[in-house]
Amino acid sequence: MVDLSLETEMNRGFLQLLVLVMLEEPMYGYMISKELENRDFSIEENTLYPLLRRLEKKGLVRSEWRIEQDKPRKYYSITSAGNEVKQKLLSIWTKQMNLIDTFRGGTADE
Amino acid sequence: MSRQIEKYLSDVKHFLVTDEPKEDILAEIRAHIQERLDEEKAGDDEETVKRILEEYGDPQEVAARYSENKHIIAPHYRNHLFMYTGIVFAIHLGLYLLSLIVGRGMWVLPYGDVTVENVFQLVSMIPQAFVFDFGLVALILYFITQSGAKVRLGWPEALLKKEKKASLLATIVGLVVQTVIVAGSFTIIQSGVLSSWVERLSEWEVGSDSIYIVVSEPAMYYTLLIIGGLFAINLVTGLIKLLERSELINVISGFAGLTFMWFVASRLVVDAVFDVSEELNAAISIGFRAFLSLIAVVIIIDLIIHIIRYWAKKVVKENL
Repeated sequence: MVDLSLETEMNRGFLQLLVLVMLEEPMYGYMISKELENRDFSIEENTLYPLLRRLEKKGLVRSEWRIEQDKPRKYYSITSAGNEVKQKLLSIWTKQMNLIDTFRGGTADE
Repeated sequence: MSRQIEKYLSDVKHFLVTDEPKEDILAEIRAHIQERLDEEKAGDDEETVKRILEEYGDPQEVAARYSENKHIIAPHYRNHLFMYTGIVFAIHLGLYLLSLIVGRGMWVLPYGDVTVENVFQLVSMIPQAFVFDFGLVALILYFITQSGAKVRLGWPEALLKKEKKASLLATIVGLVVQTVIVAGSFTIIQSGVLSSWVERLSEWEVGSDSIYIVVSEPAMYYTLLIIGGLFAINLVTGLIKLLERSELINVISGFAGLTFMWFVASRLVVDAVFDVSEELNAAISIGFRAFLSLIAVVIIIDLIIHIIRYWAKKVVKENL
């Protein structure tokens, strides 16, 4: 069964998947961008927050403000619905990767 | 906190279009900027603040990221916006032209009851009419977009069909017939045979009974003039279209036809005496006006269609 809407989302939103995977642990926006930077992946700062908000609106993540070292930080964490979507997105992503590999003489069943 | 940051945030707020609490969005951006400043241990250093804000992005762009998919008018209605504006405007213009030629008031938005008395008035009304039409169509599409309804709006397929190219033979026959009609009408007018026809027609004997037919020379003159004039315009248009096929030529031809009709109508006012008794004169005059109006309506409808086609091709980029 192919969930078309999810697949469309997938094409548009590698970042969505990335964020969902990262949010195993609660994180705040700046922390996410730092973590990615440490892995040599840069994300435009101003796209991250709207993305998190959209995920929250869909009920895939939840958020709460905390005060740490006198600083307000908005922590995001994944919800159970978010976990389900993450699993589906991961399987679509794996399928896509495999498909590409078949054209590159990679791991395809021959 | 730096005044620069507050200024920046208020700019973002200004451009934000969202149902979510704006203060929460701004607080998150503020926290992010503060984290960066702290990391760089910059304190309130104006230069660093400036650089960080620049890196975060232009306020307008930043705000736009939160308003994704929030369109005033959905992008897939763009063609409808232009097409419908063109259609409404062409009809609008047609009604004004009709009012100008027939010399009667008609109820046209946005003015209510209007009588277009002269060409200057017409020209001055066109821009307002266009803006009104565009605004009206935009408003309707705005409401459709905001309602979120998935409406499949109509498209004037029938109006935008490709023009069929007549065979060369048919074209030539058509042009020859038109030439004969034009030449015939003007020859009759010039030769002065009209008055002798009038005499002969006035008293027509069928068997032993005499049938009286009221025939007026000016009425015949004008009828021939209209026939000759309109066919002449059609003929010229046909000849030009042999060389160059374009909707613009049809539009110009329509305007030429109307200008001619307008000229005839205005002449008619000046010498609207049909040589017969006063009563009959009035009757013929009314009949003649109705006849003129009918022709004008036909030309105007044709003109409206061609304006719409021209507009569709040039503005909506329809392939005609």
